[in-house]
Order: sequence, then structure tokens, then C-alpha cells
Amino acid sequence: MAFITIDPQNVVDSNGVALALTGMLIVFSALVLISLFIACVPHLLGLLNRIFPEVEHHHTPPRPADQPDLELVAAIGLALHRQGRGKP
Amino acid sequence: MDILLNFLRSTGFAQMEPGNAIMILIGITFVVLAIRKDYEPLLLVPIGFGMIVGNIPYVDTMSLGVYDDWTEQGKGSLQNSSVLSQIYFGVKFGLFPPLIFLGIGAMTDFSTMLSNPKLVLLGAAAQIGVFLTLLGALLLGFSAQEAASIGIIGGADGPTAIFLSSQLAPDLLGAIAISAYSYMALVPVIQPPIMKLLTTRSERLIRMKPPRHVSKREKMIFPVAAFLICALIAPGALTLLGMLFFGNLLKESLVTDRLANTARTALIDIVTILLGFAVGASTQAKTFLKADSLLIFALGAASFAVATAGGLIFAKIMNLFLREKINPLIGAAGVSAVPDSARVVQMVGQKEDPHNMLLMHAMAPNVAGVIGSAIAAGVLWSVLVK
Repeated sequence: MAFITIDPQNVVDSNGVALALTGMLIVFSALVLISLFIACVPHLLGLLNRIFPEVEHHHTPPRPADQPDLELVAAIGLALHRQGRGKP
Repeated sequence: MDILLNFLRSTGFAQMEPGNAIMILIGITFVVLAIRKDYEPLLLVPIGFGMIVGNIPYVDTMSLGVYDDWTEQGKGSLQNSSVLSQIYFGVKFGLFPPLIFLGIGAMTDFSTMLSNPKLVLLGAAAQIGVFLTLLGALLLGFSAQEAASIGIIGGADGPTAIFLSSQLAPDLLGAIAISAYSYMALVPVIQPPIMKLLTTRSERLIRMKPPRHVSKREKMIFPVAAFLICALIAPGALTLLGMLFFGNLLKESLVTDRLANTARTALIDIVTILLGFAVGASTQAKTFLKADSLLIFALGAASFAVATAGGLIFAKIMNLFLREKINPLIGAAGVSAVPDSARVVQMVGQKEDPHNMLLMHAMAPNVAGVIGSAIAAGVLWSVLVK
């Protein structure tokens, strides 16, 4: 191939325009379908959840029993701090 | 004395040609850019060093380079073929790209896309770069198979570009792979000027609603359903998208954490090293330094620019019909290049408004772009396979 040769006939011979348009159309169709599916899923799951409610997954790690509740610790800390400063 | 002279004639110094020296310099530049500028170091370091390795000249009768596959040339068995050619096997036969897709799937969170499905269309719009570049390459005299492989550079997805060119235009594989990865590394340089040119300041300031919560069930159903939709429409994308969505199911199913962890860490790292190094080593001066390679680089740049513009313009068109406007900058992330183009969107958006968080919104077209470019590759492969 010469360095730069503009050859419009090659586009015609290879059905280039049809190929590009069809390709773009197929890509768009597939992604539009995915988009529509995603938009429908919450509604479908709403119906499904009435029959099979979503439960905590058995592989979700349980909260460790020996770990202190940080909110409770903070509340106790605040109460002790206020008590130390003579506030109710 | 003869032995010494023979040895001296066999050294790389004696056989070095200007082309080899140029390629070694380009390899060193890649390594320097990766280290100094932090441009995609995980890709550019293996590719750059591979280029240096691949361009050390050696005696023809020795089996050292990636193209010394002697089983193919009928000169010997696999044991006689070079180690580099055996690594390159994964590139030549399209083995590495699907494995990379497996890792990408296992690390991708589709939540933002699931919470705002209209943003998927931006990933489709950016694929216009692929098809317009295909036309450009045909206009410049490339065959349809070569033009399709060059066009897919605009998908901004290195593995997809390698996969398609290994199937349709193996002779151009080195140039296409280097071009695709170079432009992916240069996303922070190429995209911002186009983004600023095609948007107004008020558009860049648009703030978007935070994404809604996505349930675990939605995340688990999505990879299976999306794979079925894509693969039934474009079976050519089956390998890439099968691995992508399989990886994502490993992540979202919550019962295969070990497999998902391996896919997104060790496996993808190993494959990236082998793929990057083998692609770099395939750029031997005698096969790489051609006028075609320069044209491929020029078309690749055009492809990237058109894809970026396509996403941006489509976002602006969508805004004509939407009540809740989207920030058109996120259209630029439709070119895939995960997650760099999404980061660029965040960076450009924050220059106008430092409190505008666009990254999570940009991830939606970004991952949709990965799916879109794989479908585009599948379509082109189905239509053009000989």
C-alpha cells in the first residue's frame, strides 16, 4: 500500500457504509435492550419480593459478638465526661 | 581467532539496524513515561520493556523472538520454538484478552449503571468512533478486516482491540495493540481539550442526582441477563462478554469470593504482564516500522477523538429531552478505558466546580462502553470472518 492513497471505491467494494450503519445499529439495539431491562428489573423484583422476600445472605459475615457497639461506647463516654464536669 | 570473530559478528552491536535502535528508544520512552508521568504504568512498563527485548538483533538460526514459532514454519516442534513465541501464543490465539475481561468483570461494580439505565446509551454513542474510523481506514485502502481491527482502537479497550485483530488482521496486531494501549495511556491528554471544546461552562457545572441504592438481587441478576441479551444478539462477543459477566457474577454472587479475588488480583496481573510483554516484544522493527503503522496510529487518534465527541454530543442531545439534565462531560467516559476516562471526567468537572462529584456517574457510561466495544468487536468479527 502506498503511504496515503484515498480510495473511495474501496469503501463501496467493501460495503463499508452498510457495515458501519449495521454495526452501529446492532450495538445501539443491544445496549437499549440492556437499558430497558435494567429499568424493568426493580419493578419485576418488587413483584418477586412479595413471593420470595429478600433475606440476609448466609454468606454475609455476621457482626462479631465480641466487638463493642461504637455508638454505645460514645454515648457512655459522653455521659461520663458530662458527669465529670458536673453537668446532668 | 575465527571463533572470536564469529562471536563478534553474532552480537547485537554488530547486527543492530537503525530500525532496532529507534524501537529500543521508543521502548525506553514508554518506560520513562510510565515512571515519570505515571501514564498507565501497569501497561506501559511491560510493553516498553518488551519492545526493548523484542528489538535486540540475533542470529537468524537462533530461536529467540516472538515470531520464531517453528511448529508453524515446519522447522521443528514446540520445544524448538522460542519462549517468547510460546508466550505470544496467548496473544496470537486471543487467549489473554478474555482472561483480562474475567478480571475486569470481577472488579467492576455495575451499581451506578443499574441505578441510572439511560446512561448506558452514552456507552453506545461513543462506539461511533469505531465505525467512522472503519470507514476512514477503508478510504485509505485497508481491507475490510484490517479496517475493522483498526476501527476498534476507538473502543479504547486494549484487550478487545487485540482480540479482534488477532482474529481478523494478525499482521497488524503489534501496531494496533501498541496504538490502542498508547492512546489509553494518553486519555488524560487527548480527552480534556475535546470535552472543553464541545461543552459550555454551564453544562460542565450541571450537578446530577446521587445514584439510588441497588439491591443485591439486581446485581446478581444483571450479569446473567445482560450476557444473554448481548450474546444472543452478537454471538461473536460471546467469549469476551461471557468472561466479563462471569467475572462479575463471581463478585456479586457472594459465594465465590475466593474465585473473584483471584480473578481481580493474581490472574489479571499475571495475564497483564504476559500480554504487555509479548505485545511489546512483537514490535520488531522489520515488522513494525512501516508506513501502515503510522497510518494506524493516526487513525487510532482520530478514532479516540471521534468516540469522545460522539459520547459528549449524544449526552447533549439527550438533555434536549430529559427533565433532569445530565452533565454532558460524562458522555466522554463512554469510550470505556476503565477507569481512566471516568477519572478525566471528574478532573475536568472539578476544575469548574470542585464540589461536583461526577466520578460515580461517569462510571456508568464507562462500563457500558466496555460492553459496547465488545459487542462492536463481536459484530465485526461475525460479519468479516473469512
